[in-house]
Amino acid sequence: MTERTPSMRRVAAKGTRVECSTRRPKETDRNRIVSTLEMPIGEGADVQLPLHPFRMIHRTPLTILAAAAALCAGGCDREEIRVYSVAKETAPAPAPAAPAASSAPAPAADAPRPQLAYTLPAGWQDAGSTAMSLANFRIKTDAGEASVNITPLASMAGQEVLVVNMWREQVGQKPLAESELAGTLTPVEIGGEKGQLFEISGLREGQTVRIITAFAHRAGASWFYKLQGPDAILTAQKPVFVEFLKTVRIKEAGAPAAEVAKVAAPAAPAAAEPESEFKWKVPAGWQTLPAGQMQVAKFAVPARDGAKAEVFVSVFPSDTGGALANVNRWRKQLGLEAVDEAGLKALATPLDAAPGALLVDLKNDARAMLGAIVPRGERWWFYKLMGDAAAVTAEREAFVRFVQSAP
Amino acid sequence: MKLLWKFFTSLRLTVALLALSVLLIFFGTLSQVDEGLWKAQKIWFESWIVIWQHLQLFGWKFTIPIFPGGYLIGTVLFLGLTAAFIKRFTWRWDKLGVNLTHGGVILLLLGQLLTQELALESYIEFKEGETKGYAEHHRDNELAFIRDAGDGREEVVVIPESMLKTGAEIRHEKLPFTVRVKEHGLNCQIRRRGPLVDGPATATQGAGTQVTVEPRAEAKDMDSRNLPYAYIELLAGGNSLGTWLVTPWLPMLGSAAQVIEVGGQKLRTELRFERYYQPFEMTLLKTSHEQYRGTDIPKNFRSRVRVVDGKTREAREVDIYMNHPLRYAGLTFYQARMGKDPDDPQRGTSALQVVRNPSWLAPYVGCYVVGIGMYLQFRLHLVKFLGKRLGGVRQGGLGAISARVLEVGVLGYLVFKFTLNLFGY
Repeated sequence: MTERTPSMRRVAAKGTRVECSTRRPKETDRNRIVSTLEMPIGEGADVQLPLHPFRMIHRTPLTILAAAAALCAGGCDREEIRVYSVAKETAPAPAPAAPAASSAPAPAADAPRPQLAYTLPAGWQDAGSTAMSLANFRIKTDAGEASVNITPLASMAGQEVLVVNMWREQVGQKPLAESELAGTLTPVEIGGEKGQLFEISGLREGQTVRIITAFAHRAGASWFYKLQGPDAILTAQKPVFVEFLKTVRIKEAGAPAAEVAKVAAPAAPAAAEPESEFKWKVPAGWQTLPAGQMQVAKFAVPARDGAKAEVFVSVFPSDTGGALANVNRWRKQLGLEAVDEAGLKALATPLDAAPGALLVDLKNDARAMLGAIVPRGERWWFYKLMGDAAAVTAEREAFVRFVQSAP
Repeated sequence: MKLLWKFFTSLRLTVALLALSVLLIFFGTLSQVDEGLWKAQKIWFESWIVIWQHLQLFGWKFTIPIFPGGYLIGTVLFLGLTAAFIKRFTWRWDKLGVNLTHGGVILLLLGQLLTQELALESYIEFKEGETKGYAEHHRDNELAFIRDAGDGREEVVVIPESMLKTGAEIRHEKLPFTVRVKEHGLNCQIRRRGPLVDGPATATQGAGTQVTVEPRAEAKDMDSRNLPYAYIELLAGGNSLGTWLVTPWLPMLGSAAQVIEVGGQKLRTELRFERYYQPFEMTLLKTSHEQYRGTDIPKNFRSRVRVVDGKTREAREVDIYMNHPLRYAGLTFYQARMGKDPDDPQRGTSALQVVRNPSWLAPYVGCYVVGIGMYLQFRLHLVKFLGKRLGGVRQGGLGAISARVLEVGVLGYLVFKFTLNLFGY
């Protein structure tokens, strides 16, 4: 066989113009090829390119491209929702080794929490407690909204610089040196104890923020009282906040009532008393439950056909913002719109328990609430029967009798 | 068509593509400094076109292609090589070497493409005594909604993290609600909410109401992984069920599962590392972690595992250690990491790298074929050259036969030895 060089192969390819068409090479083509290659006819058999299996493929080189694209399209498509069924996990998935980044504190189990008593200034609304803050308040004015939080943290006694700088950092201020601290802190009275107060303002997420913080160190904890909001409101509210601080009383969780009495100024009554001290008659069928935050007693009333309701009792040394604010807070709990003074008059019925006592009847679909506010001496008693409408209606009389009985 | 054929079979194309490959590798390597290994790989090698996305003009974002990506170069190179191979192929003994070499290179390229598309790398991380039936991806995450399906089984609907774009609304026939992604971040840190310093919580339901998310920059180095987060609002019948925070941090910190109740159904949700369930379970029995005395240099990492396959009723114990992976059910398990349980320092932990690569043999076979092809080619030329220089060796002589026997023997031994090594014997 004649040795073919690569250049001859190219000539061969050039000569076979039939390659990309479907027609078979004509005898003349073949002869031309052969003559180009200067080969005897018999040797030229393997130059019948269109018949070679590989040669067949190249008629459509695009098929290869298409196949490759299809392969990729099939493999690349991972953006889809999958559904599958697996055996139930018996144990929770173990924690994989945490990345080098850092560690975050695990949400801790709720321990018994201290209780608070205070006189709520006019215009402040109780916003309940959260995981961290024992009490939150909202101050709504025409100029905007400000907030107050009361939060106990692990004791930071002797670390005043750290406390102040912690806040400064939050609003993008440079930390202060120990020597600069004295000018920042002003003494303030918090519930008969000595505390300190400081103010900072700065930018946070592009907005000007002003924060007034008071704090006092107690056994094992530092209590922080924060007033935060727009400048105009804070200027007006600062004296109110300072007055409010004087009225705050803390009852440590598990501490006897005497503890509260000890720290409380003589004029301010204790916030809560042990249940055993109550003289009231608990209606038959009511089940005593552990009282929650800021409550002195809690009961479950008998269930009616699956309908359940509970009774909550709280005592405060003030009217905590007045009847209107409290009724509207209750309405909100039921998903009802707030009412105005006139709406309250239409809602409330006087209660024969004490002068100024009132009862409100609230209902929203299957949920209902009976609320009573009873001023007794220097304290305001708040009673609430809330739950499924059927149970609340059935228990109405027993509840009213309970509210009327002297505690 | 003819033009296209000419284009793909031209030698210039191959040379140009090889030059582009060199540049691609150069740029891709430099890019790792800023982008990190994974992202640089995605941008330069696992793409068709390298796109420059940072240009902004009059508020418009421009995407400008700046370089052919690895896929494009590889595909065109593969097509060109295949086309040239077809065009120039001749079946003759003296061409066998060249043909084998080219065929081998085509196989290498094809194998790489298949590996790229089909291979999957994941990890099983467990403590001694723990059993796992799934592996987890080391970078990708998924949002899972899990519902009790009865008979001790659970139905899982998983949404890949790539779909969780801020503002996206995701619906699926198996989900009783629409998932609206309010916010999504690639990496974050979480901490307990500080009511003194934090504003109102974005999450209104679940554990997210008690934590604050601090977005972090995307982790780019190889050793750390991103822990993403998303605030998802669930909408059923036009009403919002609330907003949940989902992030792998929550289960990692021991937070209880977040349960969503809708229409009498209870669904659990979590944003977790992407899972790949296997038809068998693996229990870590024992870890051995030996170090050279007086040093921290590892001498031997060894995990003893029990594999229980419910389908084949197979149960066996295997040792997995350095250079001795376990190949089972199309997967390869390599010893990857070892450690101690932070809660119980006596208890060892082990991480196995799980690789599924159906085309794992392709590069080896490709290399064999290229090697043999090159050997044949050089041998042919060497024999010819020596024949011319020394005057031909007499065919059929004792010297020629013994030389042939020696050659086949040495070659056979080498191939045999390599093959044994390849399969871990």
